[in-house]
Amino acid sequence: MKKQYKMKNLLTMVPLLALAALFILLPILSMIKQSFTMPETGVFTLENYKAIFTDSVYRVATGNSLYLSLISTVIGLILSFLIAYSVNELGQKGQGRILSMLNMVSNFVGLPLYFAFVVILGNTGIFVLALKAIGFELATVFKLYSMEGLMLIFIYFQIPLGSLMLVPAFQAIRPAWKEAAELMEASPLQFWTRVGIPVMLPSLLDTFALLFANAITAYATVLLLVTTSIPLLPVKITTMFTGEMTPQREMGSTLAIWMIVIMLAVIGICNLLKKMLYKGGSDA
Amino acid sequence: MKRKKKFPYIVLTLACIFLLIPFIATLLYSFTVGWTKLMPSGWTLKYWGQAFTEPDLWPAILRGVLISIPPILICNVVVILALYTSVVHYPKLEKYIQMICMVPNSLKGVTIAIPILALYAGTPTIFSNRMVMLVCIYSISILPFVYQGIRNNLHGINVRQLLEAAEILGAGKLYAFIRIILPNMLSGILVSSLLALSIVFGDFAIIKIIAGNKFETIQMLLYNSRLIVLQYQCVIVIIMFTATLIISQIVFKFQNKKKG
Repeated sequence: MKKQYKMKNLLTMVPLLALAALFILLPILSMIKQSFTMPETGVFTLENYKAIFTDSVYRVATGNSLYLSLISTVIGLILSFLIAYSVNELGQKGQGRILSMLNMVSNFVGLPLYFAFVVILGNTGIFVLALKAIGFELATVFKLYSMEGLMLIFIYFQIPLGSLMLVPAFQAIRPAWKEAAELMEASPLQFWTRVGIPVMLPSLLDTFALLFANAITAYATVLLLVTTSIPLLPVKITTMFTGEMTPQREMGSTLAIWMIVIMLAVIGICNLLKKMLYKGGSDA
Repeated sequence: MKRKKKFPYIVLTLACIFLLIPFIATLLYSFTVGWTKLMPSGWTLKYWGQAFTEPDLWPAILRGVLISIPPILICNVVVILALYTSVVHYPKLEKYIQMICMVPNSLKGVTIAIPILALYAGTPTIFSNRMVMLVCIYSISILPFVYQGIRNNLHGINVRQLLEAAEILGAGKLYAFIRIILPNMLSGILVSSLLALSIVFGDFAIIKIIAGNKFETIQMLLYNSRLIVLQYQCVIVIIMFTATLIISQIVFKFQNKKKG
């Protein structure tokens, strides 16, 4: 009797499980299976994965994606840290204003962001032409349609996200700790390196993982800005399934799984570091 | 002491300049005749007129709203059912529900659209229909947002006590849920639905991969207009941005009001 009652209650969980199974689990599993399959013959193979490490096309795409995502995440995180710190130093009113500005700018992503950067820094961008009018060729030091351009746009969309995530972390640092440190004659630098940043490290790691996942999957800006001149994983994968050429499902699947593995590895490392940190804290 | 005070202001001023320049430039540019020197060569409302009389604009916006409704409904129902049961009967299960709902935080855009496309495209199932596929992918994509909204709400209203009180007064379980719990959750549902709407509205990757040009939302309209004059695109960008801004400001207000 009791068991039946329990089963009835669990029925309400079924829709969520079904949704997750049909549109997360099954597609990913089938993709993993495809990635180990030889095109046409359908035999099990490791060749596809071997190609990722040996074929220069895939190695370049992986390298570009990793480079772009890691650097933009690190720079974005440092800038977000400074911004979140500064926000926390403001009064209530100022905080509200900056937070709603950040919230507003965090919506400025993807296609609209691409067009905005074309307006200011594209080939006929207003900054480019204005600088030319006073006799300076921006193109000699910076080009939008290049890795630098991508990097700038990526950092741009990382900042509001990162700052919004880090502001609450700064609020967790109690003024009393700062006072205590001051009483013991610790300099602000000492306070931040010995107390502040260690306390915030879990939030910093979470933010890092989120920003990284955000960067490596970014698609719209990449598609329009560099299409094929700079190969990157998301665009490479997509063209293998939807491009004009014959679809390369097996290799596409392998690349997609590869990208997911990279992403999970970064998230995993961040979580592992977080766990180690907690343990270290309780031992001390 | 003085230096300590200055630093935050310098950082924030620089940040504001960097973050607002692309936006302000886009806005100004949409009103210009051309901008090839230090200053624009003249101002015009031509491109705004062109955008608003463009016959494809409103249908495109409407399509974006329409395609977001089924996923929002599906996602809310699914999450409420699961979370409500776990809060009332099995608090231990909540951990696993959270795990499932948070997956799309990392698996988003390309990484969720491509596997689903690869599995179901060309199969005889209903999921091979591109519109159904789109609805399903969006339902997954908005899961983390809907989950967080509903969860915060459910934890904020002390469901168990409400239920006990209702039962003492003789209300049945279903009656109590529909008449007491659900009305209390409305603000949470609204906030998460609006967030979900802005996600779907702002999506380009999924719509491009799954529907291509067969379902022209405003994102696709903008993409297809990339070879037309730049001022026109600026107008579309500003329109899109304003729409998302309105949605996110409502959400922001609601969330802050709850905290206060």
